[in-house]
Amino acid sequence: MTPYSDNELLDMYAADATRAEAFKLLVQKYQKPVYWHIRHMVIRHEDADDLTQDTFIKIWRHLSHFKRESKLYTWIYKIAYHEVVTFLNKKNRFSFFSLNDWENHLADTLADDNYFSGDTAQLELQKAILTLPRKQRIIFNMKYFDNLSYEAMSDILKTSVGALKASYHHAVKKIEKNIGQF
Amino acid sequence: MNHEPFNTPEDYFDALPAKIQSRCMHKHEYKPYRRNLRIASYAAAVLIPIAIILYVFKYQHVHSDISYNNSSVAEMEDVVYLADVQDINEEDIVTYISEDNTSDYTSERQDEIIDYINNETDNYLDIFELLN
Repeated sequence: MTPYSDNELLDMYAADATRAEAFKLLVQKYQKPVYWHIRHMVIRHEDADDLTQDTFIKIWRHLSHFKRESKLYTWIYKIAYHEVVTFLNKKNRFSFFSLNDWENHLADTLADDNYFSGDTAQLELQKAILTLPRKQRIIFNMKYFDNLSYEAMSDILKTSVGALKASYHHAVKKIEKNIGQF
Repeated sequence: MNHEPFNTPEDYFDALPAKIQSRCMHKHEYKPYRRNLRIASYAAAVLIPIAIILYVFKYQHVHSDISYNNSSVAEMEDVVYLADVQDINEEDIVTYISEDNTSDYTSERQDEIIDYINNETDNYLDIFELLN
């Protein structure tokens, strides 16, 4: 983890001489939260790897336009979130059956994934999470896996804190109900 | 952080920054089709209002009471950009607008169209906030 604050990194990025170094430090600082946020949504490492790289490339292109009116990490999360939604929309567009076809496919193949090392309980948990509607799934993941505050989630998702709390609560109830059915 | 059931290839995070930086520095990484898409969006921003007007003239025989002004072009540009980012075909927007009998294009109407696009894409991210 880089010792530099976001403001220090942005100042370095603004100067031509230190721009590349600043971006490298920024990637080192945020690569894990971005990757894991994406990974929990797209499940497969290969897809998460592609989307993580695409996210940072967009950050590289647009960072000079970042106005510092919001927190850098929420801005980065928004870009990662948008990459995920675009990816899942494309995957499901070619499905013939239902909106969550891709998620169903992921649930069916998760046990055979080389980069999944969870036990039976974790496998069931992931499958139950994959049954959630996508918006609810991202809210659940942001809270449960990413440990984001409701205020940060509200900023990223442009949804009220109350609605997020209700959605997370419903998600937990659905998961509890669905777990063990696989 | 809850216990992580997923893992990554060995040394994945050690190698990732260099991989990303290499792609960022590669001048061809800025894909030409992206630029073409943007140009197409600007063109669509001009063409869509014309298409709407033509539609109204051709099928609804309205000649004198069309309230349409230049500011609508800028509003429409935002809608087209949103459609582009979220992979909605411009024709879908034209169809949607055409299905309604109103021919004026107000800010309320724009909000309605944006809501439609967001609902269609299962995406409640305000795309205009994305880069701010």
